[in-house]
Amino acid sequence: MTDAIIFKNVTKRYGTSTVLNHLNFTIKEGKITTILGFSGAGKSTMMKHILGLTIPTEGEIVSLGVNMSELDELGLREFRRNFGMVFQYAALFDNLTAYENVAFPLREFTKLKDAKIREKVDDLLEAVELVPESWHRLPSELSGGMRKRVGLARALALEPRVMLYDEPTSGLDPISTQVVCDLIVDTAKRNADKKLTSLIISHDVRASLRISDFIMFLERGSIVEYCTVEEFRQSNNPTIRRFLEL
Amino acid sequence: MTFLQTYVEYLGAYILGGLSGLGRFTQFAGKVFFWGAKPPFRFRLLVDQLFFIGNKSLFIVCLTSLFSGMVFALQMYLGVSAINMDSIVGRIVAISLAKELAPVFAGLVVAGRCGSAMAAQIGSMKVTEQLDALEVMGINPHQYLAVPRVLGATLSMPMLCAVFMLVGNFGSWLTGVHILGIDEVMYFQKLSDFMRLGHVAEGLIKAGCFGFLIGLIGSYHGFEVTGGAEGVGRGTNLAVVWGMVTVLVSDYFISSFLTKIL
Amino acid sequence: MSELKVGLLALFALSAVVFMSLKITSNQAGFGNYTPYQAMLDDASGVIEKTPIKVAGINAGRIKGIKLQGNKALIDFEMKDTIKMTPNSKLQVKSQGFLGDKYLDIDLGEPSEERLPPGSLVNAQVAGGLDSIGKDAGAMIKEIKEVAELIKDSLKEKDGSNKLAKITDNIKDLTASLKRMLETNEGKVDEIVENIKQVTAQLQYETDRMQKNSLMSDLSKIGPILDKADVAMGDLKVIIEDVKDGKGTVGKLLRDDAVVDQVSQTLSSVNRLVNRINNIEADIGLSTGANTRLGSETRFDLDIYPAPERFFRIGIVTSQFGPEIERESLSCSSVNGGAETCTNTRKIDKSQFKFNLQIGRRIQRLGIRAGLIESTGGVGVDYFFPDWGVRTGMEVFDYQEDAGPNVRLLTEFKLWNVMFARIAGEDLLSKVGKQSATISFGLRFNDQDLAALLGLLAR
Repeated sequence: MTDAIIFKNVTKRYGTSTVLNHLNFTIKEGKITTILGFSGAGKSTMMKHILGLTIPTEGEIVSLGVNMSELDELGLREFRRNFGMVFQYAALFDNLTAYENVAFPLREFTKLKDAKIREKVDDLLEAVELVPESWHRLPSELSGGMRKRVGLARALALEPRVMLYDEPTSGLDPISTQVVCDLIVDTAKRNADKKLTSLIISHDVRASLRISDFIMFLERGSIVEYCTVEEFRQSNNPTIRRFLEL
Repeated sequence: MTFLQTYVEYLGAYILGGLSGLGRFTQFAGKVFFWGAKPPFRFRLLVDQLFFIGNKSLFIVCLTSLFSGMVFALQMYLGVSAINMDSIVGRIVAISLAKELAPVFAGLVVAGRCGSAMAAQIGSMKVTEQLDALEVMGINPHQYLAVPRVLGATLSMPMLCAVFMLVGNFGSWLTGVHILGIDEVMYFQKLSDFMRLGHVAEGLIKAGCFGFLIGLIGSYHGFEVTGGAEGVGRGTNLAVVWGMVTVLVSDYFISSFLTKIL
Repeated sequence: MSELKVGLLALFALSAVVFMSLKITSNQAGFGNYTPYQAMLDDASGVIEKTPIKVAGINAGRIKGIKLQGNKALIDFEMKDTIKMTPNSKLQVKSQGFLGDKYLDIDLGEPSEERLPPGSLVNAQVAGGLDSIGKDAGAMIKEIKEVAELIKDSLKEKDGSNKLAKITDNIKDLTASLKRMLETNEGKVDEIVENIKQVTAQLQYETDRMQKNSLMSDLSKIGPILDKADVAMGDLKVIIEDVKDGKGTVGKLLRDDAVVDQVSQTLSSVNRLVNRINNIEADIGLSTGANTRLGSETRFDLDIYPAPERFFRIGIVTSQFGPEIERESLSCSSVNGGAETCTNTRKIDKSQFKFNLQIGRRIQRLGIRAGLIESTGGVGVDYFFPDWGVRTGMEVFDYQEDAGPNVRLLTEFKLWNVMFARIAGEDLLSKVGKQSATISFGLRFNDQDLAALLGLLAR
């Protein structure tokens, strides 16, 4: 298993507060890794670092074999196409329909003809099981679950190598949560040949334990535990135990 | 003593805040210039913005200009008819419109209408993480959002200004010749005697400058929005206020600059 | 789609700019072919390249350039081909409007077959305008000056002083005196004028026989009167003659001494009587009012003062309910010498009229009287407040077996002039609850009032 993402002694400070504290870890390629932790533990910051949206105060990050610090603005831009992100509230462009949202990255970054794009979008939307009636609706007309699906479809449009999920199940009812989890797993499976790495930030312990391969537990910018699901379940760490009992 | 201290601190903080704001704004302007010059050039977005700023403001510009021209002609007439110089009205109104009224009024209209819209759009995109989404997708938000707006405003304003001049003069002619009874031939005679193309050019150039500033300020305040719906409201308000103030203040400086050139 | 609309907007804006630019430069006569000419002006002030060239007030050409040549201004201009410039054509700089905006006016002149070749010089003159008026004015002023000099010389006296000055001085003095005179007598003059006006009006009236009371009409009436007087005179003369002779009663009266003495005595007695009468003062009071129990009443009183301290009162009071007088009357009648049947009829008379008749004495402000008070015997006391015109009093009268006397308290006060009001409380000591009040208003005339009244009547 190759390492998709490697963090080498990454520290991030904002003024006097340290958000990430000497992190050293690797994310395995082709696996589903969930980052758990309390609010403010540094999960979102870590994700920003992975995307190159923020630069660490200390240390370096190597993604997909590329040292992020060596990339300039333009290079970073190019590089980000290898990543697909599903935001907490989907972050769909509200002036575009669901269809156009999904087509957006294709139009921006590929020179595909309209027909081809349409084909791809159809496939993507079908894969996320969005009903065709909703395809041409604006995001404001869609439910939270539908929006997440569209967001997922959009994130997958450019066939990324790493999928990032920011709180994918937050605010969803149990059934939708199930559906989203299934989607994540499905996506990983379908793209297993491309070795799609899935990285999830979540609060939802149960769902995470169900779908993940690895769990990383962050607390106050430091890794408390980084192991397989089974190992996580049997951890003796008091904080983790408390977390598991929630 | 403590009161004075707090006051001085407050004042200092205010000034420093203002300065850093100015600094941020300048950086923003720099980014816009930088990204504006880089491909890909999103022509589609520019056209959309031209449509929004130009075509959609047309009605209000026409309405404003018609009545401005009419009232200006009326007021001028009341003034000069005392010395029996009413044939001068056409000329005065035309020149004033061309040099000052058209660019400034059109600027205020656009600042109010479009400056606020820009800030609101971009601001709400920011608070709903759409800007992050763009970033993640590898699209620079400045290039995608700010550049078309700034460019759109810069190009639309002269067009709106020209329309303003035309309709304003029409209103003035309507009032002057048909309501106040100024001799039509004299009206146009005097106009052509004294008005120069330079006046019109001055007005159009000013309009362009105003457009640029309005686009920049509107977008900037959109990008600076923080904190949800309230923040969006605040940003919108700031965009309008600063847009209008900038139009009026820069009017002076640009005018004095242009009179030397033209 | 929006691209199309944006394009339309851009087109519209562009055409607006073009249109305005054309309008601005529309001073020029428009499109077409032009022929160049030249003109030389002594004074080209106010003429610029934008100055219009008009023929009969219509733009017909444009100035291409203005340059200095020697001491004059050379104007290069061109005229529309449709304008036929001839050697008779003249160019003039004219000004228009109050600001003195200049324009070049071309007068084509007499129509001529010959057309002015292009590039030739057109006759020019500077005309009109305020500055040329100035020039003319200058010449005129010079002439006026010369005339003024002549006048000055003619007015010089031999000794070098100014004749005109002397004359004007004299005039000045004369007018000053006149003014003073008029000022001081201004009032009088007005009066005189007014009087003259009145007199003439009056005279006009009087001399008009037709006016009713005018002098002329009166004069015309005198004629017949004079005739009658004449006759009367004649009769009178005869009577006087008779009297003189002692004829007739009057003659006897005048001539007979005994008669004269008697008459004299009688006259002196009468005189004494009249004097005494003159000393008598009178006071009349007349009032009407209402009593709460007895209804309305009206009073008339006459007080006579033969001397200031003695008086008599005569009066009459009418009332709705007067004292009742029972009258029994027995009437017997016999029927044919038989038995006498006598019937007793009782009649109750309500006497409506009551009389006052009293004598009294006046001591300063107090008055005491006694006599008939309302047809019954009684006494009365009055007290006067002459300053306030108030009189108060008490009367006791009408003693009845069962009811006792009628005690009355009264107050009378002057309202205004001869008007008075009177309030009285009647029967105040009545044992049978017969108290009542009277309020009345009336007129009271004292001696002076009466004299005035009678005097008025006599007239």
